[in-house]
Amino acid sequence: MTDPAPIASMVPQPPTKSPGGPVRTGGAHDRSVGADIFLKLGARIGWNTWKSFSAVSLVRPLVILVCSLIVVLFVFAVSFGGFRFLVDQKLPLGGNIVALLFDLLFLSLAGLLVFSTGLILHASLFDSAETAFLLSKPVDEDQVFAYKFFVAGSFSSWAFLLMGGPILVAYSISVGAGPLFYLIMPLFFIGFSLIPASVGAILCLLMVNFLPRGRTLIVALGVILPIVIGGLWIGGTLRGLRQGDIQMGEDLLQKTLGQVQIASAPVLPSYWISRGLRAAAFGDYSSSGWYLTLVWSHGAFVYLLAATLARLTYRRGVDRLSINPETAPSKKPAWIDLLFQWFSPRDRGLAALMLKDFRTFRRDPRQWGQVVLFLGLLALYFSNLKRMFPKEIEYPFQVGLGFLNLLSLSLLMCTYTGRFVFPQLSLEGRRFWVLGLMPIERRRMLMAKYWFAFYGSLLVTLPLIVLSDLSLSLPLFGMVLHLYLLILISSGLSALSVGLGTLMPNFRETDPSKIAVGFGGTLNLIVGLAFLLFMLGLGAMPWHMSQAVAGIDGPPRGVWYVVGGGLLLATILGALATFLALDRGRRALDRMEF
Amino acid sequence: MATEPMAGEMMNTANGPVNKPGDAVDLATKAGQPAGPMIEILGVSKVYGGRPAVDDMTLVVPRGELFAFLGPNGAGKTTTIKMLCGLLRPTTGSIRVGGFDLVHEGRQARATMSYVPDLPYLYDKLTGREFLQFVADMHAMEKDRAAERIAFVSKLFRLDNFLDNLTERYSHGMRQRTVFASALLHEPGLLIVDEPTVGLDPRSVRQLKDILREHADNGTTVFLSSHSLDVVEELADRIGIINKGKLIGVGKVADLKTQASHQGSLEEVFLRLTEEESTTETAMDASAGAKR
Repeated sequence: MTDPAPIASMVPQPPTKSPGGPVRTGGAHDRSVGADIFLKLGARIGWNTWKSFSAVSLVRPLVILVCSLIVVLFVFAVSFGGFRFLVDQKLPLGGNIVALLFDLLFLSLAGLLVFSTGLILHASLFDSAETAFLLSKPVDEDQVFAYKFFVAGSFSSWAFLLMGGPILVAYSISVGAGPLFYLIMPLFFIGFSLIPASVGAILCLLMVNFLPRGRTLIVALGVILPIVIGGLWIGGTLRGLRQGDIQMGEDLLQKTLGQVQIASAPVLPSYWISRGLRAAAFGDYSSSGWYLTLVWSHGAFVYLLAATLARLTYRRGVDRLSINPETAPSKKPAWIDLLFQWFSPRDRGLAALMLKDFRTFRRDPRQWGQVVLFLGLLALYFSNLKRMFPKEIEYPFQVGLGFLNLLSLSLLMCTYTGRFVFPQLSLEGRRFWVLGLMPIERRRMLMAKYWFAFYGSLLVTLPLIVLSDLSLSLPLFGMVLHLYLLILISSGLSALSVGLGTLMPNFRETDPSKIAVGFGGTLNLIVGLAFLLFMLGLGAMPWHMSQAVAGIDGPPRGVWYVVGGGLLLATILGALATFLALDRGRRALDRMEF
Repeated sequence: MATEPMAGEMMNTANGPVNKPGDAVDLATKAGQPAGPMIEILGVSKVYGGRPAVDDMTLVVPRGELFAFLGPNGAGKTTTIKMLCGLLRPTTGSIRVGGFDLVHEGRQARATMSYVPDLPYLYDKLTGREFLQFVADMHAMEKDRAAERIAFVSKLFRLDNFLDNLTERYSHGMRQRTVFASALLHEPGLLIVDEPTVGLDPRSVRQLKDILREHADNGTTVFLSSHSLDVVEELADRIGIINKGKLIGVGKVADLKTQASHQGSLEEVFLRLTEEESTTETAMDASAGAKR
């Protein structure tokens, strides 16, 4: 740093001080800064991010846009078809059944919003370098909270818009709603989102400040409670629908309505948005305005509560989390590590690398919490599968459901390998000197990540598919086929995520979720989805199709050649994906400089 | 509850002497500043899971002093600094910065200070200039004044060549200089720096040392935490040594040498003082054990 001017002459005058009293500096710190600086910050970061996207290539934003459009169009098509079906069945779109469906939709979306906003806020308020920076500046706690709340709310409401928007547009077209409906709809969405997001924030602040210490416990409670409550409710509802309990027709409808009546309680915000939007769709703007006022006034009030709570407890929470709970130190390895080692390969170096990744994963509840949540919900759904139907499921439907379950598990695996496995090598980058200096070939490091991902995928997906197939009473061949395909798919997806993660690393980023949603992560997701499409199309579709039509005309002639051929192709594809992805990854890793 | 000491007043606590008569007054007079202290840490403890990270600390730092904070790893330096910045709250005791209580007048206290952590934070998707503007906005600086100050600190830290690039492309040294520029932007009364020279090239280290010294000479209080004893020895008006959460020595280098009964380098004095403390503690533990 050479500067021609003498530094002393450049040093500014010291702050103005009142003798003996508090210091007064140039800034107007007696009043709080306006919220607009955080709005400007968000807008500036968004604009710069867009510029850096588009400066490199328009592929990335286009891919994101196209994927979002596909989801929106798919949801719209399914919803529109559903509303047409109701009309065909002579069920009025302004009647109780549609009202109940909307109540359920908004109630479940609200539940998800509470959970996701709470989780995102926990990470961004209490475990972020940015908030530590902001808290050392002269801004009030509730301002930092407000900024992070709206960022978290926007993230978690994204799915709400993608899901809720097309359903309501399909509904409005079906009932012939006027143009004003499309103006009112976003107002309802924003106001309604405020309520569950604020509730999530309040729960997050209360848990951090008042629950017994220990993040594991907090996250575990946050994960387990919704599953237990949801499970009890769904289980109670489905029990009433079991075969023999009721007759089809009016009784069934009444019984169903009775079981889910809680979703239509007039005190619930989901009821207000549901009724308000339906009123707007039918041109009753007076009622709609009443519900809109109700939604916004409550949204603003609950947000105010959350912000007040943040003002009172946010710093206290930061302080509390800085104190680690006393745990009895133990020199013995944890039982779960021993169990993991028992299943690990005999190669000591490989096993040590896998154990390191396992320990890193299991000690971060935010990582495994999400896995446990969604797998728990899937397990709940699989185990209650039969109860959803009033009569014994017909064989073609059993097979069809079996395929859909295989598809949902595969999609989940694709998401999770993208979210957790793809960022692995990028995260290694900054500390690669630890591994890089060890007498272990880089190829083995790659293989360790592959085996870890592969084993992990199998551990969670195989028991679930067995549960699903047993619940559906699928034949043994179907179950074996599903297991075989899941092994191939797990291998392929794990290898693709490890390989592409090595080919397109991001060593600057330390947040795995941001690496996963980056360009490389998005591409990995698309490649994974395409791989799934082919694997299921080749390996699973022929057998399921043949079984579905078997009940009508008997199995088609020569079907086993098609099934066998498809399986062979799927096997080749799975092996090729595994081999090629790992090979390319290995070459990239060998060339890589850190 | 500890009573408030006057700056420069002799303080004797269970942890030993914490201030030397006349030091603070001299410094305040030198800078032409009022004698009110900038930092008042009064009987502060911070307990983590039953163990004190900071133990009954009392320390007063007057305005315009460059105070260096030394201690072995895990001694409680970072905890003290985080409490000074309002990021952590004392379990007992109170802290005042610039006359403002950090718990009850936190915003006003934070407005008088700047903190440069050892791993500073920058928004990757902002340019250096946008980051400086954001910091100016947070300190509610007038637009013209902010522009003037941004131009000034950019020149002072030689940021002009990269100030309009996104900070994600900055090297460690560039990041560090940008963070220092942002810290001095609003002319803080107190500058807290944690390991400021890590990652800087020798020329940048030299300039940083000059800047810190001259800011202190012009009335800014600098609270410097560092393991670089040569930097500390060269810059500091007074040095505080913390070990196992306790302030075991405060004063000029000469005072510490007297306390350690050793006339060697600061490194030797530091090692001797921290070693003595550990030895005394071990002996007391052994004695207590024998009594039991």
